[in-house]
Amino acid sequence: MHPLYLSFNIDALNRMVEQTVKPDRQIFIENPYVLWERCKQNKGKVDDAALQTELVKAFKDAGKNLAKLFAAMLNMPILNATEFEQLYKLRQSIESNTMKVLAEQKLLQEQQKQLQRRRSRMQSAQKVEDANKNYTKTVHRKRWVLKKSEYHGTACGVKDCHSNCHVPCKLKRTMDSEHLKMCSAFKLKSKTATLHSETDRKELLHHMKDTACPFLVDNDDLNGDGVVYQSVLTNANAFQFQNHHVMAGAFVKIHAASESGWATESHVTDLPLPADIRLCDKFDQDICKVCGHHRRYHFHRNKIWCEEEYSKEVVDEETKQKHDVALRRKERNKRHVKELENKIELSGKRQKTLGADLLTNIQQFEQHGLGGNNTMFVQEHRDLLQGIGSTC
Amino acid sequence: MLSGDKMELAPSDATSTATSDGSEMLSLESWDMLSPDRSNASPVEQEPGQPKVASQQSHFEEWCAAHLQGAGEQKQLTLLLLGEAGSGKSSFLNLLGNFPTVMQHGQEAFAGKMSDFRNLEFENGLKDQKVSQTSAATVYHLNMGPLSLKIVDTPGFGDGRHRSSDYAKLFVDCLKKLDHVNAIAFVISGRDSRLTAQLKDVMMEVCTIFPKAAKNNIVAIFTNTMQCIHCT
Repeated sequence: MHPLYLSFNIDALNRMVEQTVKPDRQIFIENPYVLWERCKQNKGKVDDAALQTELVKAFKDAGKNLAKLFAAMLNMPILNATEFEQLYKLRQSIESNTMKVLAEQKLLQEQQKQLQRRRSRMQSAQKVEDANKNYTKTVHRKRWVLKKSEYHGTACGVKDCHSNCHVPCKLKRTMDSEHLKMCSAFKLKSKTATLHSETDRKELLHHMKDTACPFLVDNDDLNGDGVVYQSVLTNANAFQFQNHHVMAGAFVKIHAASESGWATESHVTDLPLPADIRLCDKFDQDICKVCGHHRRYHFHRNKIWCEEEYSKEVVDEETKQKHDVALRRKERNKRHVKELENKIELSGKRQKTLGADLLTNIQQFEQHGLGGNNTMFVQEHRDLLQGIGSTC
Repeated sequence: MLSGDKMELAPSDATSTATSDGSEMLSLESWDMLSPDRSNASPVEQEPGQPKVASQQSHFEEWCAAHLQGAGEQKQLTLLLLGEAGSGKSSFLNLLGNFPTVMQHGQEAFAGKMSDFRNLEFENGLKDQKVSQTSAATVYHLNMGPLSLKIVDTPGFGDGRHRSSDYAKLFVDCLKKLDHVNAIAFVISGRDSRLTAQLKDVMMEVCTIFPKAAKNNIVAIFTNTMQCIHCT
């Protein structure tokens, strides 16, 4: 074949091998034996002499071009056959590394997605936890308690009564409820009467006279065992006054009376009329005049009922349950996040190692491989590395 | 006949020696006798030192004497042959194996015997040139006296039987049997205006395993073989 008839764009080959294939390395050759076969077919049909001439020329050309090829081969530097295999192995290593890097990249992306999901769940759980963290409330309430006091008195023990019926009381400290009859809460019962006239005053003073009566005092520092006698208005016998039955030993109580609180004859005499008075007798000593409960439910000690404030933590169970569920969810996701972060870190390290190996192989490949043909191969893998580098 | 790996080819063969005394002239009158069938007759390996045709010896050995240094020592060359299916790669290989004979015929104006021509039988040498019959890369050993040529023949690119990635492996597997490589020849049909996408793909694949220094060993073989010697 003559170069004149060449249709092939040799630049395509030059680009492939990154080198202009020089004319001495371009062999244009035709198998003359094929022409010989043609000559046989045309024998006798065309000019035999011309055929023979052309055939000889074809053989000469073929021989010349073969000689040119052999001469070129003789002048070429010798290539070590193992270099091809080394490059092949290097290429395989690059491809294998690339697969590993891609697999690692895929794994990393999956782990990052999982991490994002877990973080999102953790944040969501945190919000729920925060929203329900105040599941306990402090409430301030009041309650009745018996407190030690400096004095003793009579108090009611009926549930929810909490009455300090006579405090402080001068009665001797006692555990016997019979003695409580002497307490002011039980001792006397008052009946209100009105002195309208001197007749009423005279009638009252007719039945009641000043008499020295014993009264309890706290001479021994509130122990209630002291007794003093004081002259107050009282009656020795029962009598009827203004439709009231007054038992013997009754007292009269008026405003601004004596030290003991009971009136004397002079108090009544000096009282401007009309005037309200109270006649107090031992009509009923079983029922407390203050709280209305029976005497046997009362006690007389150095303790009194006091109302005190107290604080109490109240748990909202529904809120607490929401809080606890969210807390567990948060902790679970937190563990997963930690695990994933560790995995991602390891994966990143593996990827960096693989990437470094890949880069080394690529550089070796670039160094030893035929540049022009390898450019695309190398570029693809370099692009991959850059892509990975940007995501890591 | 040239077959894979072991076959040696001498400038003349035993058959022609037995049937001819070397006086048969290549002329148009003798073409009938030199049918491909005849030339396809089973070749016999020639032992080194067997008598050769004097005229062939003179031209080829003259060339060898002029180009080969270190006379008396056989020069060993290795050629990697690459090309698209149907590019005439096997036909070129056939021609390459007959270098001494071709040279002789050209020099002596068909004075030599046509039976000297060794038709190298290739798997794809017959009917359909577009379908490569070569399924694996094969190393051919050609013993041409002072020259010893090893040709690594690869399956034709784009024959549809191999993936692009297969070629590099075929190539490497074959190269494991060799020590060195002298040249890498791309056989290209000169009638094709450009590389097909498939060919380009395969060439890129194969070229990735070429060392940097290989760019000084690239040879482009442009051929326009229309028929191989067997196709009539």
